[in-house]
Amino acid sequence: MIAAIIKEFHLLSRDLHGIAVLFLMPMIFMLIMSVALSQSDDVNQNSKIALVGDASNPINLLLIDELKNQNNIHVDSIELIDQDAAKVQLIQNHYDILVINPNTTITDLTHDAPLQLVSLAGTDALRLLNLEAILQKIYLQYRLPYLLTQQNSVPEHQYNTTQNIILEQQLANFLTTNIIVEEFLNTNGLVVVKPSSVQQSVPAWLIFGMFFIMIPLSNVMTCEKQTNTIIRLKLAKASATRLLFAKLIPYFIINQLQFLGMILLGIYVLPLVGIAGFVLQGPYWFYMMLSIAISLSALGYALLVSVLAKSAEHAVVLGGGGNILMAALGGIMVPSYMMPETMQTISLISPMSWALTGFHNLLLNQYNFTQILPQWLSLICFACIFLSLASAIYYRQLNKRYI
Amino acid sequence: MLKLSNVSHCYAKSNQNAISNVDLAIESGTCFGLLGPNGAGKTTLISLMTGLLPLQSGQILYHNQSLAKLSIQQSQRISLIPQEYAFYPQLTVWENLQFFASLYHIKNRNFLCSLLEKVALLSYRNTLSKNLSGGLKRRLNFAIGLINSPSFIFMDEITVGVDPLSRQFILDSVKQLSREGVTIIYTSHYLQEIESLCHKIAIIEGGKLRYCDTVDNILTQNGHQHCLITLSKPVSADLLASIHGSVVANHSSYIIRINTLAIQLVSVLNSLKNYEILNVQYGYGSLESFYLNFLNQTAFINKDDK
Repeated sequence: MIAAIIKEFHLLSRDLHGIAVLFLMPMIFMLIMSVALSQSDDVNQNSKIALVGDASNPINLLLIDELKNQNNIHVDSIELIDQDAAKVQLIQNHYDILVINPNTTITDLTHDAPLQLVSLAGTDALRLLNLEAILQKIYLQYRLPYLLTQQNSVPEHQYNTTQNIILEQQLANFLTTNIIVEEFLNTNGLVVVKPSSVQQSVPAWLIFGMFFIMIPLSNVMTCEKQTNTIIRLKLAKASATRLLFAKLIPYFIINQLQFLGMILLGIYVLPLVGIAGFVLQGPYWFYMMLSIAISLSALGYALLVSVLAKSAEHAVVLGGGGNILMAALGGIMVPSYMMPETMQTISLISPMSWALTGFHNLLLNQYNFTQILPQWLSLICFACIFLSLASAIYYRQLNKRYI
Repeated sequence: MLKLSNVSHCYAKSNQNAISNVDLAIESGTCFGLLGPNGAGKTTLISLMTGLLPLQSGQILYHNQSLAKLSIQQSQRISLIPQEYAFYPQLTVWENLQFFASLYHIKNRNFLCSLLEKVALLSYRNTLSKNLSGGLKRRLNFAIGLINSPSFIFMDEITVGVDPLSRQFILDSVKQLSREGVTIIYTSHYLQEIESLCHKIAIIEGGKLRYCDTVDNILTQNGHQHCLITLSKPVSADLLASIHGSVVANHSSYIIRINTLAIQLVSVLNSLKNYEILNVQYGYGSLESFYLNFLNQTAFINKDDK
C-alpha cells in the first residue's frame, strides 16, 4: 500500500504538465479574475454624468445634489439648449451617461416627458440600471409632489369633482408611463437599438470557441510527430508549405462554420428558449471580414501550439491554458469595462480582446468597417506573426527530423 | 548498388561519433541485414542512408550517384518502413493509402487495390486504422512503405510485437520483394528472420562496422555442421553409449543433435534401427549463435552495458 502511494507520488512528480494544470493554471487564473473583478462591487466606477436640463428647475438641482451624494459619481450641469454639444462630448468619452430632463418648471403633469438616459451602446448595463434606480427614486420623490403642488395652486372655488377625476386620471397616467427612457448612440452619433445580454455574450463565447480550434489541429500534428508519420512525409519530399496550407484550409473552413453556426444558434435557437434573439446589425461582409481575421489568428495560435507541443496532452495544457488566460484577460469572462484601468490596459494584449472589441463595435455601435480597422489589422498582424513563426518551426522540424 | 565510403556522423552536443568511418557496399536486388546491439548506430546509419540526416563526412552513392544529387523522382524511390505505425489512426486503411499515394502523385486505384491485396488488407479497406489488430497495422505500415514502388527499402524492425502468422506473412512479402529485384536493408533483433531473408549482413557496434559477410559464408566458416534427428520416443542411455561421434542429447530427449559430417550419419542412423525417425534436419550452425559468439568474443556486450 505504502509502496503504491509512493509510486503514485513519483508518477505525479514527473508529470509536469499535470502539475502545471493543477497548480499554476488556477493560481494565474485566480489572480487575473480577482484583479479583473476587483471593481465589480462599485457599479458606478467613477461615472461621469452630465445632467442636461433647465438649470433653474429645482428638480434638476435636487437631482444633481442627490447624484453627487452617491459614491464615485461626478456630475456636471448642462443647459438644455446645449443638448447636441453634450452628445458630442458623450461620443468623445468626456461623459459616460447623459441624463436629459426635457421638462421645465412650467411643464404640467399632462405634458411631463420622461427623463432620457443617453449612453453609448457598449455601456455597462449594470451601471445604467443603478443610475436608473437612483433617478427613479429621486424623481418620484420630488417631481410628483412638485407637480401636485402646481395642481393645488388652482383656486379652491374652481376645484370641483370633475377636476378631481381628471387629476386622478393624469396621476394614473403619469405613474404608469415610463419615467425614464434609454437611448443608445454609436460613436457616429446615430441612435442604435438597446444591446441585449445576448448581443454582448454571443460574440464573446463565439470568439472563445473559435480559438479552441487548436485542439483538433494539435492532435493531428502531435500524432504525426509521435508516430514518425512525419518521417514518411519528409521522405516523400512533401513541401512543408503545401502540407501546412493543406492543414490550415480545412480547419479554417471548420472555424468559419463554427462562426456561422453560433450566429445562427443565437438568431434562431435562443428565442425558442425564451431568450432575446441575437441580431446582426450592419452589412454582413463586415462580420465576414472580422470572422476571417479571427480565424486566421486562432489558426496562427493553434499552429504554433501544435508545432511546439511534444504530445497531445502537452498541447492541451499549453494551448487550452493559453486560451483560458487570453479569454480571462481579453474580456471574454469578465467584460473589460468592469476591470480596473490597469487591467483594462493589460487586456489589450489579448487577441480575443481585439476580436471582441471589433465585434461589439460592429454589433452595438454599428461601426463601419474602416472604424474597426485597428482591431482587424491587429488580428491580421497577430495571425501573420504566429503563422510565420509556426511555419518556420515546422519547416525546421521537418528538415531536422530523423528516426 | 548502394555504396557508403568513409561515412561518419556526430550528433550535436555529443563529443563522440555515432557513426565512424563506415564503408559498405550493398548489391542491388539483394536483402542486406544490418545487425548490432541497441545504441550501436544502426538507426543513425539508416537515417544517413535515407537522407533523413545530412551527411557530415564521407560519401553515399546510389548507383554511383551521390545521395544529395539524386533527383526528386530518384529519391522518391527510396522508402522506409519504420518500427512505429507511421500512418493516421483516425483515417481508414484506404484513406491512409490514398493520402500517402498523393504525396507521390499516384492516383491509380487499381494499383492501390493490388497493394492492399498484396498485404491481404483489401477486406479491411474501410476500417479505421486505429481499429486494426497489431498484425494488420503492421501490414498497413508495410503497404504504405511500398506505395512509391521503391527500388530501395529500409525496414527497421518491422516485425516487433507481431503474431507468428502475421510475421510469416510479412517475411514472405519481404522475400517476394527481394525476388522482384528490390534492394532491402533489413534490421531486426530476430536473427532467424535475418538468416532466412538476407544474403549479406553487417554488424555495427559503437558506430563502427565490425563485420560484413554473406550469410552463407558465416554459416559455413563459423558454424558447425549438425544433424538433428527427431524420434518418436526418448533415447535410451544404451543407445547414446553406442553412437560414435559427438552427440548432444540425453536419454529423456526425443531429439539427437549430432555434430558430425554427413558421411558418419549413415552409421548413426543404423544405430537407430529400433526407433521410429520422425524427422531429419541437416545443416549449419545458426546466425544467432555466430552473432552472440562474435559479440561475446569482442566483449561488445559488456562494453555496451557500461
